[in-house]
Amino acid sequence: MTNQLGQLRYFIFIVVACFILIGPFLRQVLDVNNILFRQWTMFSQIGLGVHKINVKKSGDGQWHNLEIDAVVKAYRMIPADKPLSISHQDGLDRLMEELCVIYPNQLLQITAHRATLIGGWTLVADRQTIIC
Amino acid sequence: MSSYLARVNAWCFDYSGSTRSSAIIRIGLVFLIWARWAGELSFFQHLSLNYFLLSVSFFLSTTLMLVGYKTRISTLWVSATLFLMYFHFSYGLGVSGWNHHHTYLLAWMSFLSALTPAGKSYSVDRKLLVRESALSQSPMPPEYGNLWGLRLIMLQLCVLYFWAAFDKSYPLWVSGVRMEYYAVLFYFGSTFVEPWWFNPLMRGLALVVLVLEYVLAFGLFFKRFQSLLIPFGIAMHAAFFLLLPVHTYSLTCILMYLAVIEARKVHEFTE
Repeated sequence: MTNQLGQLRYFIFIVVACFILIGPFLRQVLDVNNILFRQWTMFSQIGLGVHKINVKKSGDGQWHNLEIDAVVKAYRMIPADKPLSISHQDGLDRLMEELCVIYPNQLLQITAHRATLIGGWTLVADRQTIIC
Repeated sequence: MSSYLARVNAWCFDYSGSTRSSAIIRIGLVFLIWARWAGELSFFQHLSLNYFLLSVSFFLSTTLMLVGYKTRISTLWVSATLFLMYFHFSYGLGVSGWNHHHTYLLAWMSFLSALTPAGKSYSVDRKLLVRESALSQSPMPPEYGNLWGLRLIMLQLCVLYFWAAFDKSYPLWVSGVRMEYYAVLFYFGSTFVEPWWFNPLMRGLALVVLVLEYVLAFGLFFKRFQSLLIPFGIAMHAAFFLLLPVHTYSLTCILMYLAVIEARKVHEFTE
């Protein structure tokens, strides 16, 4: 009986250890798309699509930096101690619409870099002019 | 070669000792599982038969696991319930948030915990055994067992570190840019104007995490490095827990360190 238990223990150990070792290899190296195995790619998709944004306002024939953080937070009713994170193209489009509401009849210029998986911060709006 | 294999064999199967660390893992796991799901699975949250049955299974099995009654069976039951949630409810029915790595880790850790003698300490099972031995005037049952299940938990922890580090082994991580994404998303916001030290700091943090994960993946197997590496590993998870929305992931990993620390030392500490 003890011997049988010992053999069962060996068997379970080997099977479970192989599962632990091989599962991520299948998912992360061989790209096997099977949910039975778990990949350990924590946070690998987090942050993708977020933007770094700079907005300028036209005045006196020159472009001046515009501090939009507080006004957009106020417009969206986001608490001041929360970050204003603009993600993906629709987030950027929405921001541009909101800027026109906040700054009517103004000429604005926006530069935006988007967080991408391979290319790092990728320029998606290069001094793009918004006529409000 | 044969002596090396004998050592691996002994490491895997000839590890016996105090069962208290297994029991603490069991109890800690239940609290983490409740922290993650108890709110979502309260009966008023979903008024349908399948969720009602799921909630009954969840609360009954986790309670039995916590108090340690029929421990091996109740722990397996918990694991089965959590995997049902992971595969069927999340991937099958589309419940969001139940298929993350931290939820898988809780389900998988419950399964691995069922392979340890977790019911031999701090449990109703032990209380019943002690009472039985007192009645029959036989010696007190020892809190002692074969701890091969703890080896699997330790293996899982190291494999997790290796593949997490492997996933980060590419230029964008090493350059600190991926770390910048997290900083912008969670802290500074999209209008952040980077000071000169921002990228060097992010690069430094990224390198520390990458190197530490690789070192932990291999170093934890060596007893002489454990006392040095364990505090670093725990500190890294504490930092993740405090700085990023990692849910129960970090605390589960910290709990897994009980499988790395020698069972004798845990017993002495709790004595």
